[in-house]
Amino acid sequence: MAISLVDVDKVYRPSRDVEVVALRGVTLTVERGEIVALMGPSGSGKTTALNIMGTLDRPTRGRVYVAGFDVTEADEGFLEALRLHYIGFVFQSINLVPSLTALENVALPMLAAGYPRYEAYRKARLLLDAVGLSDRAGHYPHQLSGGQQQRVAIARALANMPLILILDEPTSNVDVATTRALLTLFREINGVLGTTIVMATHDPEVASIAGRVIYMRGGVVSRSAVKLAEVAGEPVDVERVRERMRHVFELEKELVSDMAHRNELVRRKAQLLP
Amino acid sequence: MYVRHVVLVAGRDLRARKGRYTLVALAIAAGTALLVALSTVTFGLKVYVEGQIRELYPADIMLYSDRIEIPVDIVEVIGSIEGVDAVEPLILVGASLGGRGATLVGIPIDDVDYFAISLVEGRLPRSGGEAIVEESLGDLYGDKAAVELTESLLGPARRIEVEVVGVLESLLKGFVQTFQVNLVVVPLGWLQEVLGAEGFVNAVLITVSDKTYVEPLADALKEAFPSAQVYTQRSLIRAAIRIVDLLGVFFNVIIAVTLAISGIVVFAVMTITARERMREVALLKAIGVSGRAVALSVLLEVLAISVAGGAAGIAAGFYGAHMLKALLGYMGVSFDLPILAVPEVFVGGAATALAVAVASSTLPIVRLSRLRPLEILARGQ
Repeated sequence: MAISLVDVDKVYRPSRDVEVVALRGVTLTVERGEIVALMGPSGSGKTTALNIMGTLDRPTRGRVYVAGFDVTEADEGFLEALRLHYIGFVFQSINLVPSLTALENVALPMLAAGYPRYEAYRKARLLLDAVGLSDRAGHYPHQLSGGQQQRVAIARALANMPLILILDEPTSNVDVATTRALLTLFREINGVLGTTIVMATHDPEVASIAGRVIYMRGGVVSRSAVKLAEVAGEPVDVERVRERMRHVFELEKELVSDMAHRNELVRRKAQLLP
Repeated sequence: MYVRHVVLVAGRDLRARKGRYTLVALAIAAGTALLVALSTVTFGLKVYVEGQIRELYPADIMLYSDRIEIPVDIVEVIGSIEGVDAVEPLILVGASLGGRGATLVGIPIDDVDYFAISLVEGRLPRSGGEAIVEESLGDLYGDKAAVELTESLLGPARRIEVEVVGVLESLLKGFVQTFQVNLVVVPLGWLQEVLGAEGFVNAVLITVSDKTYVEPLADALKEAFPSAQVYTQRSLIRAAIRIVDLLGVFFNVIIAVTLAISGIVVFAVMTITARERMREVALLKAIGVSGRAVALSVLLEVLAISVAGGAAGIAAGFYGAHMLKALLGYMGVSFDLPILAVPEVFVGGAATALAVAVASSTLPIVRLSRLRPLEILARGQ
């Protein structure tokens, strides 16, 4: 099990007299290697649920488990480390540090995790190559299109080979062709790395790559459906992608084994990597 | 904690906002420059005043009385004490000369070397009735002049005729008017005779070979002559330095105001920058970069800016002190103020630059490091 929410409530208090119930008694589980889409109208609680799963927010009541850790009351330092090593984020719009190049944006989480500088940049180049942007490595975010920025963000999210990828409306700012390309990329990542993907979306086409769709309404899970009929995007040739990512895997294994002796979180993650 | 990402983010942000951070560095440089310039000038002034006192007042101890009551025989007694190099009796009397305030000084003409008199023109007095005057009274050279003594503890009012036979170099040439004493130097024996005070003086200058004797000897003299005052060279220097320190207090107020303005500029710019960087920092924290790393990254930038501003300020301040000296000269103060490179002032300047920058940036840094990523990310979605 990758993520588990048990009877979670989330109540916001924007002022003393006002209470907004964003989640009410939500219980859901995401298994390792699953692609799960959260769907529902605006204000249904899907982004709140996503933020709690990503440890960016805490529940008012209930318990949250991520990658086997009970994170409900974990201290901020632990959550930061967990996000760094276990969770990759792709947000709707704020995704890249504007003063860093695409390459530096991708290398940043690795440098924060303690990768040697040379190796971090080497792996960042391989990841940019994997998302088809090796020729944009030296570009700054403002020099990239929306779709290219999202692909850099995906490469950045994959930098530390997370077990879980959290995507919040990842295609809302990109055109149809880019959406298709990104969906293919998500399926490749899931198929080849075994990365658990949880995404919030309004778009049925995006949700079509999910193995399961969880519908939310008024802060509660209204329905959970397994598999839609048709999968969007190009068919995934797992072997071809695996070959393309081979260098990334090799480098990652090498680096993680180097780092594992000094970091319990990395050691545990290494056992869970494919 | 790893710092490579901290250095990367700090370095790139410095580059991206170089115009704005140059402004911050300039604000720090301005405060530091003023501090270094005024501190250097104050230090130079202390060195100058101390040097002038040592030159003007070569004795280690001065015994002085308002009355001419110190027996000259004391000179021999003090001179026989171990460690005493020289003892010179003299009379100092306040006077006026052609309407100008003056000091009539009677010294043993045989010992003029002790008083380090260097003549600009003329010769030393050879007999009673001859005098040498400071350059400020140089217009009297070659003339007879009447020195007016008012009624005082030294005796009744009287008028003494002297012939000015030489001009001595003014020791405090061009310095602040209060230090100008318009010396009129005459032979001691003759002055004693004129004043009816044979065998007595009102001042004794004492020079010792070992400076550790100064305080015990001064204490002994205070005991022996309770109605007289005992000045040591050190106490005079201390008194003069206290006056310079008063000027230093005024300078410190100017420095404090300038540094406060620098601090406000730094605070304002860093607050605006912190506000602009909230999205970026929220993203960094969301992907797992710790609040400590965020704080360290901004602090690193502040340190880099303050080091650059501080270094520029120290250089500008030191050369600014030369300009200040030139400006004072232009305003008519033409004494030779030494502008010295004082390591303590440079270190103080650098430390102040760092302190102002860090103190003014603390609040924006803390706000950024405590930022909850969700608040910003939710707003941006």
